[in-house]
Amino acid sequence: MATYKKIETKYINGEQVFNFGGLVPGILAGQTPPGPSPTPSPTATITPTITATPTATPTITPTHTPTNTPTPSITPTHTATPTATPTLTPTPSSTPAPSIDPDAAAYMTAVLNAGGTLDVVMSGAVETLVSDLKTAGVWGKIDVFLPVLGATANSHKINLVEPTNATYDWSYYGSVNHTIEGMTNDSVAGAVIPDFYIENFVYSTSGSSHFALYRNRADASGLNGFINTIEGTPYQFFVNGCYGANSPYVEMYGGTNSGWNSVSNNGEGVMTLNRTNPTSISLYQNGTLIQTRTDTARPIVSLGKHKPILLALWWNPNYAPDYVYPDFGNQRIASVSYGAGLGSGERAALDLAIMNFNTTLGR
Amino acid sequence: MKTGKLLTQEQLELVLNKKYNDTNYFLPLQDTFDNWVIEMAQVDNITNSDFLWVKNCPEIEFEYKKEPLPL
Repeated sequence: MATYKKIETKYINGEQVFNFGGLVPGILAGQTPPGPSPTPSPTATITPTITATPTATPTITPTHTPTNTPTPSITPTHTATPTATPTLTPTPSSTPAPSIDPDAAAYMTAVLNAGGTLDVVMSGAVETLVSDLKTAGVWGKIDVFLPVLGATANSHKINLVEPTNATYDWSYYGSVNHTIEGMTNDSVAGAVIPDFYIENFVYSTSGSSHFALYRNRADASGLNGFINTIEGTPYQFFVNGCYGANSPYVEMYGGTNSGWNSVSNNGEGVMTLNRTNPTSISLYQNGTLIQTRTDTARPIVSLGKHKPILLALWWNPNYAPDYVYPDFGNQRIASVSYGAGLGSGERAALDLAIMNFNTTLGR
Repeated sequence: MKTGKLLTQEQLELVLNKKYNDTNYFLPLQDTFDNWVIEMAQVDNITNSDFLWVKNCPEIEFEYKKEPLPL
C-alpha cells in the first residue's frame, strides 16, 4: 500500500503555487513544471503506514512511485479558490450594539406574533415613542396605548404597555379595515369596541383620567364619533369629529351641564381629553386647548356601560341588544391612549409623542 | 341605499355577539322599518361555517335607521 503526500498550495504575490514537498520545487499554477529533477529513491522516504495488520509483510514495496514528470494533477483545474481568508478573530467593536428597550421589544414581538409586519422605520419609531413617554414620566400613567402597527386586525389592538392584552383588550364589530395607515370602516358599518369599561373617566372620586386619539383622516360628510359613554338619560358624553353632513366638529357633551359645546374643526390630529380634578374636563387638539367645561365626576354607582367606541357615532347599552350606531364615515384611527389624568407638561408631552410617532411613520 | 341580508328576530339572536370570521363580530343594523339587516360587507367575508346560512337570507336594499343622538 502506498501513501501519498498531500500537495500543498499557497499564494505568493497573489499567484497560486503548488508545493509537492521538499523534493519538488513549487510551481505556479498554469506553469509547466520544470524539468525532471533528480529522482528520489522510491523507497527512501516512503514509510509503510499500514502497521496494524500483523499479516502485512514487512516488505511492502510501494508500487506507485511518485514521479516528477508533469501530471494533470497540477493543471489549473485544481481550484483552490483564493477566497478571502475569513477572519476568525472577532473584531471588537468600539460601539456596542444598541440595546432595545425591553418594553418596545416586547411590543414589537407581539405585533409580529400577531401576523403583523414591521420595518426599520416602524421599529425605530416605537423605540422613540417608548423613550419619549418614559422620559416625560407618562409611561406609568397609561393603561392602554395602541400604536396601531402591523396592518392586521390582531396586531392593531396590541397594547404597547401590556402587549399580552390581558387586562385591556378590544373587539372588532362589523367591517373594519386594517392598513399600515391605521384602521377605518370605509363608510360601512364597523366599530372597535373595548372589552373593558372606563368608569373612572366620568365616574371617579379621584378625577383623574385621560383619553387621547390620533386620527389621520376625518370625514366631514360622515358621522365620526370617537368616544362616548352613556348611562341612559340624562347623562351622555361625546366627543365627535363631526356630526352630520357638513358639520365637522370637535365637541363635548354631557356632565352636569347639558348642551353641546362645539368647535368647528376637521377633527384630524391628536385629540386629548384630560381630567385632573373632579370638577372639570378639558379637550385639546394637537396640543391646543379647545375647551374646558364643568363636569363633576361622580362616585361609581349604578354604572351603565361606559366604553370608548371607536369608529362609531354612539351606542346605547339600554337598547336590546346593546345598540352600536355606526358612523358610516371614513375616518381613520392611528393611535389611542387611555389612562390616568396628566399634568400640563405630561399632557403636552403625550400629545407631542403621539404626533411625532405618527409623522415619523408618514401618517 | 345600502344592500344587506334580512334577518328574522330568531336569526338576529343567533348572530348577536358571534364572530363571522376569525376577528370580527357581526354588527347588525336596523333599517327604517325596524328590520334587522347584515350589511353585505360583512356577509361577503363570512368564513365561520356556523354562519354560512346568512348568505342564503333574502337580500334587500335598505336605509339604516337614523337614530337621533340621545341628547
